[in-house]
Amino acid sequence: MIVCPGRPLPFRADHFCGLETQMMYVIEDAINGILMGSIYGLTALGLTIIFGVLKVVNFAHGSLLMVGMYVTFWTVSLTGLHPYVSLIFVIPIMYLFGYYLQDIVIKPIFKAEKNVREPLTVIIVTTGVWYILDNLTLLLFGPQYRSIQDNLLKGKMIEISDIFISVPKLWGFATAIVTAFGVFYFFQYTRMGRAIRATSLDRDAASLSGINQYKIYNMTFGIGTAVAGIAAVTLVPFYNIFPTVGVLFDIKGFIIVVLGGLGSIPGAIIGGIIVGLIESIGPQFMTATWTEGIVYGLFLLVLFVKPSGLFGVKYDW
Amino acid sequence: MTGKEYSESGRTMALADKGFSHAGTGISLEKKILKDTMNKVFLALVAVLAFGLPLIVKSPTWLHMIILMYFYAYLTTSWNMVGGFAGVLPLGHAVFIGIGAYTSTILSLQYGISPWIGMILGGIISIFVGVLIGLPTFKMRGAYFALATIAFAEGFRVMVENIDYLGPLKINGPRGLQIPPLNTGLSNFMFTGKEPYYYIILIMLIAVLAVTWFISRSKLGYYLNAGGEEPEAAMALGINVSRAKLFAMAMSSFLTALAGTFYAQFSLFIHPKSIISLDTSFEIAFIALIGGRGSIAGPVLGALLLRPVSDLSRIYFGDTLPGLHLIIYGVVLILVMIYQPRGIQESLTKIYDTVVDRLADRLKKDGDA
Amino acid sequence: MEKRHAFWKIMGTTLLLALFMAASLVISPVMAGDKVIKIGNIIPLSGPSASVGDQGKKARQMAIEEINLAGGIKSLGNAKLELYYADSESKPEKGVAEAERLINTEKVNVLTGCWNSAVTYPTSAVAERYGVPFIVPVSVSDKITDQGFKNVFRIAAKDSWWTRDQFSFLKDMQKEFGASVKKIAFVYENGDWGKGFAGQWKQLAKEAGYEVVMDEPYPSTATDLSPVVQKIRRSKADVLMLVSNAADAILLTNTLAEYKVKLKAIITSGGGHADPSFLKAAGKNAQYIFDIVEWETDVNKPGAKETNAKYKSKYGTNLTGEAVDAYLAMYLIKDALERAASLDPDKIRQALADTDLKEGPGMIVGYDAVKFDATGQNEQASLVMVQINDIGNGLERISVWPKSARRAGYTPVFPKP
Repeated sequence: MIVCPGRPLPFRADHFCGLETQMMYVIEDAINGILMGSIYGLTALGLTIIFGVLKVVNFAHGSLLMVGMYVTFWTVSLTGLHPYVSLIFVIPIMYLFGYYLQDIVIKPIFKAEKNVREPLTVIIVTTGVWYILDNLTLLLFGPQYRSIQDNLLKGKMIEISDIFISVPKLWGFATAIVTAFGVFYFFQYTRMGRAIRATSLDRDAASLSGINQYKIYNMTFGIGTAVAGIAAVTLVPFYNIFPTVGVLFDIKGFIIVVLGGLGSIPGAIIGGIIVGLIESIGPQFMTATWTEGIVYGLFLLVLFVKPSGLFGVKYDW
Repeated sequence: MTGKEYSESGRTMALADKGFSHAGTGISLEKKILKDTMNKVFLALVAVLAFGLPLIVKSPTWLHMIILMYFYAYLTTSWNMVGGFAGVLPLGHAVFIGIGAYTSTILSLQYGISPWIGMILGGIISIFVGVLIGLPTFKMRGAYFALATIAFAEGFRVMVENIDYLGPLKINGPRGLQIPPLNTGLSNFMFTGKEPYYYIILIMLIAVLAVTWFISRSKLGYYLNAGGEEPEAAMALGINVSRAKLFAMAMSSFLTALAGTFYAQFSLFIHPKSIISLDTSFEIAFIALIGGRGSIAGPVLGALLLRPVSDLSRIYFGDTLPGLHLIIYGVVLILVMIYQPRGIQESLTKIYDTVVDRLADRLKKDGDA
Repeated sequence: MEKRHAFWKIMGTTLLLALFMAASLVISPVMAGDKVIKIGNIIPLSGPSASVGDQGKKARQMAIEEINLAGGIKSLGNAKLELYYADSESKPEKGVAEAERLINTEKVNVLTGCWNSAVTYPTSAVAERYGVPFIVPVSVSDKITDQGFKNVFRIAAKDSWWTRDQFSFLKDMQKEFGASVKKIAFVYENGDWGKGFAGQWKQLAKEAGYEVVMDEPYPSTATDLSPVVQKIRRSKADVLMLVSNAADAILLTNTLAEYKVKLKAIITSGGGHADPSFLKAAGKNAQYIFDIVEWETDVNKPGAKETNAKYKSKYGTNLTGEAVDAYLAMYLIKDALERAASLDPDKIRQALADTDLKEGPGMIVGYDAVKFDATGQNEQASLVMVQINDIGNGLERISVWPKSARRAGYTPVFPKP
């Protein structure tokens, strides 16, 4: 029995709200959940790509997202372009940033740990990168909350018979789906993409076929970071930008990626949507502060019951 | 540098303690005995300095900073049991600090139970939680364990922040719990001056170092060592690696919780964002890693070096360059991981060894002449 | 060997830096010349409240410059006042540590701070333990003055007064405009401040007979507040009462406008809504919001306009209520020191307790005197309700209540059109 939203618990028998209204509410929340969730999935997509190939959880992913948001913000503020048009700048900048980050900071560790099954040190190093990026941004740009003013997307809503749908989120949803398909196509059907997949499956065999393993890693990192940049662009129209904005998405990203399965592209999007749905529909039955806890609980549940996630491949534990 | 060498450092220290480091290099027994004595003298000097410090340093601010330094040294050494010896990466250890602090505080505020008892109880509860986390995750990739610890820590924090009353227990959510500074005395774990706290944390630190030392030379230590690097080989030899890891986790959780109670009684105010924060968990891990996980001296050395950097950069640069100490941590961490994965204790120990060696030569020569 | 070399260079430099800083901390510079009175200020200079902490710093700076220029403390031989700052990072344990340091190492004579109630609360215990007078310009939590401490003096109104005034205002508005209000929604940040207010709101609403249709704490750092806004919309509340920090205030206001939520009035509680960045970021969506604050730039007091203009030309923004409290705190210290004519902590404490400050550059607040009761609370502190509106000069904050404080010629808009 659905408790009528907006009424304090416990459920009061003298109150009745029409079934139709209830259904409308649930639909509205579900739509918001799916839209927001797909954006969450997009933020996690880069993470899952990097893991799938490098077998490493990039703890700095949230910070990369934050960097993408600042890059977008400055591009839009300085040039007055539509945020989605600024993708022209954001994607290459982020790709190069990720490429060289991997090359300069993380590659040395890989080289040093060639024979170790699981380079844990890389996780540690990415955590260091996270701290440095976040605090350097704080130092350089200050703690203020910024947002874009008066652009074409901000605050627009579509109204369909009393159901509101947020336009920037709709754009985000479309972008997420397009990006996911694009990335999937890239890895399945292009030569470069297949080379990357080969390396991920067996690095030694791949290098025997003439593929430069480290170059592949650099590229993958670049791609993952570029995807984070795309996610940043979808967020900027309706969200605040500040140095620690990445932390929230970082943790959510891990949760989504485990939910969906590390390394799985559809898993990331669907995992994101699940989280989005919980966040949107949950508060109707409890306070928003508890939904946070539910997301963590779900995460732990998946971790203990099916660690490979919904779409993940069973690894050799 | 292969991964093997990380876990070796623990074993090297153990062997060195048994005096085998120079086996086969043809150094005379006399010199070995001399060096052993010198090591003991050095340790004695350090102990005298540590116990005598409050007599020299009178300023409460400095004592406060030093106490917190020892506090972190204690935390990192406990962390080391699981993060260093067992070879996994726990990134949510603050959850045990929280459990310890809240258990003893609630019990003492509401039921008047002595914090010392609350301390032990908090430790026991932490054992359960630690084992609960470890059971399923130790079998998985290290990354999963790390994520699980983060999820547990954050989930716990969210829970505590949202609950005002858990049945009859007052938790007070985000407003935290304040301990009124009445009833001083040892049995109440409450003192007006800082000196008693100094000695308590010093004794705790020595105790935890001793425990670590024992483990490194015990069967458990070897099991963990073997299990960390070649788990299949270890299991083939009949070692139950998972059980060893769980044991290490249980001990680490217990000891960390004790520190939680200490903190509560020292600062007299606890609230979720300060003690169950991700920042704290990460800081502990960073310090241990930079100092050198898997070694006994590493975490302590890391704390001694890094805590002052954090405090001083806040005092000097707090208003012009906020967050500077975190950037320094991050940079140092990356540098250490690339160039000295065993931590700075490796180089520092080498320097120490060289000095002792030269000194021993000198003394021997004088003795002979 | 080369790698090792580079590594050691960097490590060596870090070590040297650490040693250097340690050394300079120990060797504190000796002050020669005029006698100097040290005031320690613990405020958030980094972290989520950094921008308000910064305003408090600037206000104190301006006051001290004026006081020193006018001759300092005459009864102490024209001694000058000197400010020492410590960053609390909005964390209670840092506030406590910094209090210890300011008292024991820097040897300050007076402490002020800490903006965040959660930091002020334990820090006041430190000041009390060492017997150092502690002036609280801004923190509103009731329990700060309810601890029975002798050294704590608070200028700002207690938070129970804030909530009381919010409800009185609502009642007066209904009477003045004949609109009826039945359903109220409470939405507040999930911290000490928000929960404290909510607890009192519930009580007051019960007494006044309103129907509480929503009681919703939310995490201040949430990434998406549309579920909360949806709940507000569906609750069909007449009036929404908010307690928010800056980022979520902006997010909520914009989301409320996006979802076209119909409300008769939105009453906010200062803090994030009073932050200058709020008005800039929320823009038109913030129109008609009622906010309760200590002080507003159009208050009818001599010197207020001039002081505000001076601050604005120096630092670029208007004074806020909290900045004015900090400004007043400095003049309060000056007044107390003049009367105490000594740096003995007990004498300073007594002088503070006897304060009856009615005039001077610091008294640009909305009320007439600073007088402390036995618990150290300023009994005269009062609040002002403003409405955000555009009357031809762009969006600004206009005082509307109590009626005596209302800006001449302005009629509040209630209910919201």
